[in-house]
Amino acid sequence: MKRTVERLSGARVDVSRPLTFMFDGQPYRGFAGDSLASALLANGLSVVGRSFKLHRPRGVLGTGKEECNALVQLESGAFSEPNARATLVPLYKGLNATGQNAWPNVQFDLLGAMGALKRFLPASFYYKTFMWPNWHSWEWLIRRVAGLGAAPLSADPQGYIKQNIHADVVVIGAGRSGLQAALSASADESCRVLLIDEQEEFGGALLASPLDADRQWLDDALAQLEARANITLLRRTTVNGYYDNNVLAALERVSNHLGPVVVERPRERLWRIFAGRVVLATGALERPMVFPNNDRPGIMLASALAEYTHRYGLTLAERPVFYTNNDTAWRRALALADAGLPVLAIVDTRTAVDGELLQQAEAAGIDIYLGTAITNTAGRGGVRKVTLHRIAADGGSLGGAVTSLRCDLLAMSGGWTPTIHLYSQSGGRLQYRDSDACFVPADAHQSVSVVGRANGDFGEPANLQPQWLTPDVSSEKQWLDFQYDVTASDIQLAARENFVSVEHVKRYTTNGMSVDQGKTSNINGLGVLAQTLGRPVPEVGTTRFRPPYHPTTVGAFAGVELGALYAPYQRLPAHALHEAAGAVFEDYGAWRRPAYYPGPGESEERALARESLAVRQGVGLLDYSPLGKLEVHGPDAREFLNRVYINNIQTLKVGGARYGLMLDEGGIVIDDGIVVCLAEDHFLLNTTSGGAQAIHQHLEEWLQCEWLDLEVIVNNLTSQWATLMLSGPKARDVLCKLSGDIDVSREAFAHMQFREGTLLGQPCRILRASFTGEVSFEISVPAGHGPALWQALMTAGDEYDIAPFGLESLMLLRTEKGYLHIGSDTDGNTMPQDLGWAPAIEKKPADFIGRRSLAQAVGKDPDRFQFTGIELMDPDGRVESGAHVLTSDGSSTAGYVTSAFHSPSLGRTVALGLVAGAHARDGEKITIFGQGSKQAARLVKPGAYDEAGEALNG
Amino acid sequence: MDNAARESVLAGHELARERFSVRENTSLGLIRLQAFHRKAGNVDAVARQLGLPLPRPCQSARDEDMQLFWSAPGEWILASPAGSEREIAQLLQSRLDNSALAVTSVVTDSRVTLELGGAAVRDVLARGSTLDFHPSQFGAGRCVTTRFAGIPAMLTYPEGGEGFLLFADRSLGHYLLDWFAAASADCVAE
Amino acid sequence: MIVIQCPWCGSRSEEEFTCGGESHILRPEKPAEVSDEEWAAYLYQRKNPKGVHYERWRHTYGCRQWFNVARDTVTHEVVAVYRMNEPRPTPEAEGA
Repeated sequence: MKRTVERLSGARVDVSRPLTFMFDGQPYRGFAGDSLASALLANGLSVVGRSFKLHRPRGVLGTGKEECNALVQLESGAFSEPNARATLVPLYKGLNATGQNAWPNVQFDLLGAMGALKRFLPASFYYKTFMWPNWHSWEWLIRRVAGLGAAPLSADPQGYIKQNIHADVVVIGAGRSGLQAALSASADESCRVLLIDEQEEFGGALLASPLDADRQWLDDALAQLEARANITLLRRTTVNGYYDNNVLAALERVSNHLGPVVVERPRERLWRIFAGRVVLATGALERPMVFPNNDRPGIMLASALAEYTHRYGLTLAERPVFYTNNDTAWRRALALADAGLPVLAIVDTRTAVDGELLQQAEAAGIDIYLGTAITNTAGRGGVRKVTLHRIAADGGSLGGAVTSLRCDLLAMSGGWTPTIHLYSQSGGRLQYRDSDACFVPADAHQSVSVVGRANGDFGEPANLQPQWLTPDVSSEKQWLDFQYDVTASDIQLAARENFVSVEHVKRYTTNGMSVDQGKTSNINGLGVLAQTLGRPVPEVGTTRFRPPYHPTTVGAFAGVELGALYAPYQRLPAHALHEAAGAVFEDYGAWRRPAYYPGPGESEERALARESLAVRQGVGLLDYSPLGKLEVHGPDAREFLNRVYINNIQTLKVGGARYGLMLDEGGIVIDDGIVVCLAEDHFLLNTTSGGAQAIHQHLEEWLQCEWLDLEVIVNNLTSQWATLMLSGPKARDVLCKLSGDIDVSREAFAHMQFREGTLLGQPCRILRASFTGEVSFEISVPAGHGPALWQALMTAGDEYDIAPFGLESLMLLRTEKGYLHIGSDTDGNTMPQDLGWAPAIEKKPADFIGRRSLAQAVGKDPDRFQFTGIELMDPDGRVESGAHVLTSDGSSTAGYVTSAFHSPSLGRTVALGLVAGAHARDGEKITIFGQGSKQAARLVKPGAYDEAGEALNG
Repeated sequence: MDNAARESVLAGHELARERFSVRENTSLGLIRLQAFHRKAGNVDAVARQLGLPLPRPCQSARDEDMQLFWSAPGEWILASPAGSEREIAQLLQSRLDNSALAVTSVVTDSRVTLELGGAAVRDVLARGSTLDFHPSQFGAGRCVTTRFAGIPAMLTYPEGGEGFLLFADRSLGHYLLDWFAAASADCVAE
Repeated sequence: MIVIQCPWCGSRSEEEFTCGGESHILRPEKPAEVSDEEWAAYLYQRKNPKGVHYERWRHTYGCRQWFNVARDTVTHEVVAVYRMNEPRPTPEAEGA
């Protein structure tokens, strides 16, 4: 290919701004305004890539999204991007690209010999060949030989952002039709218009026009648009998805045209667009001609040659030949000649061509070959010769050889394919138009209109006569998908093997499955299939178009939701104090809570032992703020709660508190907690920590969907209150020291009672319940005062060596006591009878949510997994939750360990579990399997510590 | 022992960029008003008994130094100067007591209130929620609860205000500040 | 992505909502008196129409309200939105 350092006048590159760049380790020079592809061509690089399977040399085919050959690895290290289309990469200073799938480089690829193996590597080759002994024994080899770019191995240092935008009219594509649509829509000042285009600058095909009138029109249109306040202009933005309700997704390349630098602006921005009306002005893609060895470098689309000439000012050839089946390529050839550039010949498969075109071509000194096919090409590293044969009158066979032409570039045009991907994604129907052999939009499903060439309005007559493949010669080297090495013979093979559905043929041959998703190959593959099957093209149909239209960076989908922001996290009111105390935080649901507070060099087990012994022997303090606090108001509140809990709420007196279990309608336990009756029509529900929101939703669902007659209000006040659990034999002594009006003496405030008053001058609620088995006060103050209360209690407890304790220590303490923790000791099958609640339920007269399900056969199965204590026979034995309890013959699982800790108070392991039929097997010996080994254990009642339960009354 | 000191959610942490800023607002005391709203006429009766201009869905209103925000059917957030909310809640409850048409609860501590400002504020908001933040669609007096940065949040552009107010669960205050810092990284001087 | 008209908050995107499955499922008035089969049917048996499906959605991230949506499972079109205390629209009203 010719090296064109000088540019033609009128080119849209700035020759006063040269830019140096690297390709495959060699320095080159281009100009501002170049794409990487135009810069590579300007430097005479004809081979810029290698194909996926056969390592055939590949040259630039197109100018934009349709490019399937010029894929490069852009930059290196963390900034590396595989499969970048050289046509879409704007040149920047210092750009560094390398060719892909080649060794040592794309010019001299040692695996290029693969190309000779084409006939041994047909479609389905992989499926048929690598079956023995299995695919995995070959995978490593395939992965080495076949492939494209390499994914970067380190984290992406650049940022991404997602943003939503609403508009009345969204115009996609800023060529002539799109600009016209945007101008007319934005004439109404109240209409919010969004104009989007994927190129560096607006103009679409106008940018490649050699006509001054076109350029003037473009400048005028842009000036008008820039002046309007009601239009938003998005350049470098590709609309990738068109979804229901006119929602679209688009990727804006905000700063990646600046190269591998980290700037404040994100690299890319993913726009989610909510559109009133959509105008698709997405243009059309030119199709390759299908003929033997049509994949040789130096063979490109006729429109691409025109754009490289008129937009980028390149002189690519001294002897270019045009090969076509329609009129548009003639006009490109004539425009080239008009610009004073040589055109050797036009080869056309049609026997008759518009007289005026013929006349002009003859006048320009162009050789003309009508009714002629190119039947072969030759040339190393670029096309040097094409062979011509006359096509017989029937169109299905060849006549004699005409001649061969020595050339240095072949520009082809097999017709035009409207870019209807987005239209198809929107649900719109397509119809086949015979006159241009293309699919055009028919019935729209959403509020969308398609204009210009995307709608098949080509503006100039094409007079196309399709020739899907060259007749009478082997189809083996007639390429359809240049990237994935799919040829016409592969489609024919698929059809012979009875793959007649277009979707199956696509997957069997991989035609159109390449990075460009068949933008140039699909329609030709369809034509070959239709011809092979002897059916009309519309009957064969198209494959379904799915998002994304163009590959989208995964980082853009993530946006800022990475690392620490991967999911929302909730912080306790006294978080900073826990941090200062050296807490180890863990996520419990969304809550970030102290798990334990290790001293210097202290292990988790030692910390848990120290903290739990402090609670057993002295006093400990736990931040219990996530404890659910739902308030239920209303004249029907009591009736409602009686339907919600398995427990009898009708008999709960004002000021009283009661443990309650909640089921779903399937009878499965979903929550437990303490219900407090604050007034006849006002209740407080302490739900499981972290479960408050789910239970709030559960209650509102029943009130809104089922029991609309009940007058009940539910108010989630969980985070209004900081709740601290003060627990241990010295808890009362500590609490007494704080100023307040609640009598916390043993006589005045018994276990399972609730008080409201003031503490430290703030409103305060105290519940005496116990999840540790020791005397406990669950003290709540408005959350903003939580840190002060924490500090006050720690100070007051100093003389008793008060220890802050974390959630893991709480879990140890309650496991010692055999107290159930919903979600740990219950699973998605646990019913209340499995927890020993059957007798209590029987006493309750009224129905409640899930009750009827308990009486289904599944609820009566004697082998249900039931809640039990588990004691290891070896006093020094250890077990972890999740270990299996084996059936008596050891062949299967009959339950599992749900909670297990080493108890420092008892000096041995305490464990809880769900075990088949456990309630009738108390004392029975079992075998536990965990961590690869078995050990003997026995079933016991839950609650190994303080079995009499006296400590909590102390 | 002395009265317990009060700590704000963000304890002074804030975000100040050239074109976007986040600051915690600690000047508001918040009351949640919930009416038994299903019976026809109840909501009107509540408004009458309280003598308050209860706003309609997705609206806010103002009554002397109280701002009223619609948050759900039959549910409003009333914002008054911090420190006054307990007294006001009691006063309102006393006006309601005979009818049992609604209940009030002080919720100041359950919420974090963020003031969002700067030239790019609407752009940053559009990164957290799918709502339309164009001034023609989200002007003064609008108040919505939406999915913002993955969490439920109430957003309002109060009458006579100078930016947006965002209300969310207090436990999410630091998450929101971190999220805003990441999502506004480009809101530096142009 | 579908856009749903919340009866209170207006047009919002799908991500603000939770779908609760088929609507208009009546809970037996006296659960204790129905057969195992009837109870199982109430719990688990659901329609799976190709066409208009009546389902309930909650505006989870907004006003927390449940409401009904008649949605075409083929076209994804929302044919009607109505509150829990409003009757199911007649097929004529849906234009079906």
